[in-house]
Amino acid sequence: MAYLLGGVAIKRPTSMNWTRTSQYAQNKTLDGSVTRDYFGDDKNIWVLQYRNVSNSDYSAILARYDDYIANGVRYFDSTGEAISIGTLVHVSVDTRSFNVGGTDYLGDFSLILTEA
Amino acid sequence: MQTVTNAFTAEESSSVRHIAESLLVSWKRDYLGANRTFTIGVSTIGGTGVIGANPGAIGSPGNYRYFDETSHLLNLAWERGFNIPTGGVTKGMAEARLDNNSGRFTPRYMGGNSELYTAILPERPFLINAGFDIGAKVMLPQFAGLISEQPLVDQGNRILSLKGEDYIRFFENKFLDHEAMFTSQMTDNIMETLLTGTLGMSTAQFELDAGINKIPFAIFEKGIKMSQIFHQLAEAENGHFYQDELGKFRFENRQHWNSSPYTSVRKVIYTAEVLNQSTPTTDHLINVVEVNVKQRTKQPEESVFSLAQAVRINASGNTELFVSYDNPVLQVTSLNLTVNASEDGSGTDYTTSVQIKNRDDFAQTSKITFYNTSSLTLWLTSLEIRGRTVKTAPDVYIRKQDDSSVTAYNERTLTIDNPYIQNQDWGQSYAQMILDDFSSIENLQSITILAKPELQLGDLISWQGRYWRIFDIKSTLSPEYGFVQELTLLQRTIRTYFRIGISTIGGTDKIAP
Repeated sequence: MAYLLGGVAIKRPTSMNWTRTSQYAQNKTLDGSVTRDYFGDDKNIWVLQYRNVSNSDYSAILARYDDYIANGVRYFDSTGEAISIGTLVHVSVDTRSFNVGGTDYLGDFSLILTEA
Repeated sequence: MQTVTNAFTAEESSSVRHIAESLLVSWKRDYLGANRTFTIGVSTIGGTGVIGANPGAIGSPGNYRYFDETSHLLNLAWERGFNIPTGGVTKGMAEARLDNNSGRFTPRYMGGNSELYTAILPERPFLINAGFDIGAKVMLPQFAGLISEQPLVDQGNRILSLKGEDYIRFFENKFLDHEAMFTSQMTDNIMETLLTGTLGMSTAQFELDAGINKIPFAIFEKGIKMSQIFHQLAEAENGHFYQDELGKFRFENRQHWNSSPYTSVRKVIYTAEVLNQSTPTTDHLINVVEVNVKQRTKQPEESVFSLAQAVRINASGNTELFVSYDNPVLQVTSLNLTVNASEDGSGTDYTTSVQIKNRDDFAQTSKITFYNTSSLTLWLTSLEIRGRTVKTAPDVYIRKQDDSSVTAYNERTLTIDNPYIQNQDWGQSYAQMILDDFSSIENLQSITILAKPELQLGDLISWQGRYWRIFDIKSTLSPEYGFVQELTLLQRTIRTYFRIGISTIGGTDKIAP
């Protein structure tokens, strides 16, 4: 599976989590029953996890983030698979951590894409 | 109650509800109507603004072009309630918080560059609609008003806060620019005259119940706020003047709810829909009512002014004289004058040489312009004006009390001092009606329910097996609390009042107060 962010193919992640979120208020009435008021549409969050990524691959992902910061929400899509994404997303890159010794600075981080 | 479909009702009673809401703001105040009253600073010379007696008259909310700001909405709240216990003018209020991460609501002077950067200003019309998503979003009008304060831009938290009031606010900023007198008019006649004649509104902008109160004499001083006039008139009727969800002004008299469909229960509230029920407080308790009745009576023709000191009349020209009356004069019927050559009244009588060129009568003054046709300086030595006046009789003081309530809670007194309660019988009934409603602590309470946006002020609902009239609705719509309403309820005993052609003499129907 390949992914496009802002029209540019990004490195294939080690793993990917797809979460659906909803916004609601939960109330309890006088007879004890619980009700929920839902607001707005459900939204998707994709967390693309990368492990042992080189400095240059990290910089390429960071460039996508910078593109989002400069231009606003970006189009996120997948290619060649049955999963359909195709939506505008907010882009975040979380902490980059280094677990492998050596001079290559291979690191782990996550690219978090939140449906706008 | 606003009309809704069965699907809407089913969704609002469901344990899983999908809320739909919208906030529309006319940031640029684009007016879509063909004509509006010319307003300095808004209208342009040669434009479509119509010159009228009422600069700045408000238009209907539906005539503005709005920006849909729903996608930026964080939460909403709005409230509309009747004045308890006497009635009068009531004003609705609303507030909204919007997300400003995009910088859409950042003004130019704070570094903003959006299409709205010069329009983040007060006095902008806005609309709130709310309802449910039942496959499609079905929303009901909830509030129409104006942003009342400068929108608060919180750049640190990227939030815009709006506060607004309904169009009743318009009457708080309008002052009567001339004295007005009315004799033997019903409340709605006076209101209509002021709304159309003084404020320049069209009859489509308001709906007035027929007044029950016939006011023998009303005088409104120059400079009084229009909201004060409407408040006193409505309060004197024990009625309500307010703006509904659609932006229409309404006057409802005290008998408004006494006949169908208002006598039937519009909604049964079930325990499974109630989030909270609060203990009634003693704040509203009234067990003694004092009413000061201002009786004014029209007088037969009499002398209303007599000149005390001679007045000089300039030769071959105009001389203006202002005269004051002790009481308001409904009509000047005659004016007799004597003009002499000398100040002491001696010498040649020149009365025929002096004409009354003009006379402007106000309530308690007249401005008279004399024209001297001769080339001599003359003296007005006598002037008697006759007319019909209105005199204030000594106030009649009415006091009523509920003895059992006074025994239980001690005296809780309400004094009503309204110049348009001019009838002693009505003063007595008014006091009794307030005691009936407010001398018992359990007659008023508030409940918080899962919102039913079709409810309106005055709707009769059933709760805990009793009938209650809605006197206040405070709606909150937020992801934190959901869509909930706090209702202030007044318990009612539904009576059938006597109707000509339907009720029978000797039957159970009562005479309406």
